[in-house]
Amino acid sequence: MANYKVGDIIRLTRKFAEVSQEELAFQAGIATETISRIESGKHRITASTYRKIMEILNLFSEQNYAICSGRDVGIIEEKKLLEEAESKYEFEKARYYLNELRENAGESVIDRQYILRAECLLQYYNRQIDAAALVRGLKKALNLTLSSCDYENYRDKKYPFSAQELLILMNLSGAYNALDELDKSEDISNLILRHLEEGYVDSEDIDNFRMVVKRNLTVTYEKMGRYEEALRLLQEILQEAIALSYGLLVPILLYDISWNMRKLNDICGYERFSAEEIKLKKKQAYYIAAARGDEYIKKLAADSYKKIYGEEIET
Amino acid sequence: MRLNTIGEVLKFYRKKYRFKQSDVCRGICSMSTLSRIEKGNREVDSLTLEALLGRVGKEVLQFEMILNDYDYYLWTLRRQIRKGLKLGKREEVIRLLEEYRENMPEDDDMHIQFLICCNLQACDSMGKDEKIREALQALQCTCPEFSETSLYNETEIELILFLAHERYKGWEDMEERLHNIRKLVYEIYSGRRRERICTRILKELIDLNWDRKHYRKVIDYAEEAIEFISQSRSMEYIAELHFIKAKAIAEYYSGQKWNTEVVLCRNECLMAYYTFDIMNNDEGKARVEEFCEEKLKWQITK
Repeated sequence: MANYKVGDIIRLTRKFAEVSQEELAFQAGIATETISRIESGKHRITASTYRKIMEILNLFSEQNYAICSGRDVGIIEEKKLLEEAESKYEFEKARYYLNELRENAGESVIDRQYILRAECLLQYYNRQIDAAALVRGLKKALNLTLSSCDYENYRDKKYPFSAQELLILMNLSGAYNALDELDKSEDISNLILRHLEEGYVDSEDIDNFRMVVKRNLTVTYEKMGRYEEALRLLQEILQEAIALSYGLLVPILLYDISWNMRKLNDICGYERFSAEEIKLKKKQAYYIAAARGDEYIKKLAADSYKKIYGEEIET
Repeated sequence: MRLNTIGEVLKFYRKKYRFKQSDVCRGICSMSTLSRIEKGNREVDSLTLEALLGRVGKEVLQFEMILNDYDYYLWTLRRQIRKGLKLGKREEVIRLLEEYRENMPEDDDMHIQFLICCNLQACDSMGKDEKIREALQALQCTCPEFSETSLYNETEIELILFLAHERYKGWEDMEERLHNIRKLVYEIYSGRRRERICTRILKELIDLNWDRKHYRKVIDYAEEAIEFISQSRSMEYIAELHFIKAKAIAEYYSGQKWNTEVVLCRNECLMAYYTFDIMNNDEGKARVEEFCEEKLKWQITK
């Protein structure tokens, strides 16, 4: 008994049943492009979709076999570790995991795309390349699996981006923020959020991912001077983060909220938000960051508190 | 490196972690069966595969399985049950467990173990002795005896943690066992699962040592757990852990001159307090306030 990848099984079964991709797609109620991507291993398929497809092709599987569809088992963990290190700004760790990844990854397009993405980001954080080069690099990564990396082409269509492509798009949106091409950044963030609503991407990190994308959007708003919107969105994300117990974002959100409150005070010309309120936010950010060992945010909060109020945050 | 069957995956990780075949399959199937599974020549039901994969620290969800109808049905039920337990939907879980009991293969230890383990988590009405009896029975299904090199999958760990939580006195070396399991989990599990399980093991170790008034150990374990959580994305337990650390510091150093430690203790209280606050946990805040007044003579809400 030989063992195949899910995509291969579907393709071979389909050919055997003499059914075209279009026909199968139509019967299954999904896009032809999606069938194509499933067959080539670029799109992760759920068990229920698989059964639906196989039912259509009139073949029932009598046996068990477990299959890895296009994702190398050995590096799933490394990817997660790398992403966590990135999100905590721990670049040395990130560099380490990236090297591990490179050694263990295969030759597949998916892996190469992921590594290219991680490389660009690290080089940018280490100031080896500038934001413009980061944008170029990320677009190059996207080009490995997308025929067009101009996001404008996808704006009105419902293209089934893979989770990895959405991740790179998120990085791209961040890069445009750094480059001050704010409209592009906003567009891409909204594009991603719309796609997440479609619900075809199913992973345990989806809620977290959505919150990070939303936070990127608040950074864009801040740069555009839309502080009111930024504040509102930040408070929304904070509630979500608390409900989901997602500690990674809570300190930075609290800090960002305090920052926007001060900006709004400046603009309004009066104390719309009291000093007490703002101080509290900074203290919350400080102590919760400390509780979680987030040294970066802890320092950010302490430094800003001292600068503004001339006293130490720890009384 | 391409891995295409569960068998190959099993073999890959078994060799990577240098485990013995006998340890991986102990209590689940024979060594010859495991050999055949690894070679791809043997089909077993998905629960057995889960159990074997679990011994090498991996989850079936990381891979995709294509199952026959009956097996798929049971697998789906198990998923629903686990999800229900996670979301705290007790009544639904009990109903699903009844369905599982009616439909599972007869006299199958693996399924019985799964059933009992989930029932213990869902059921509130059992007495302590009965719970311990059930847990031991379930554990016996796959763990006839213990040794240092024992491997445990998540179900088995769940049962052991359960016994620890109920203060089962039948094992003198409970702390050592928990220790060994934690080492194992740290090595072969990853990501959120590792966080979750290691944190729970540490919690049991903390409670155990608090009972025994070994406060230095409580502090050490709390620090480890905090270190762990700081590498994770979650917020659960963080407040509780800092608070426990504060209390243990107070117990450990009280009666001596403890000026520097008082500052440390206050800091832990502040971290606990603010975290309880943001999580809208008024009960937690009240406990911290009370402790600060009584033991530190200090008003934390200045």
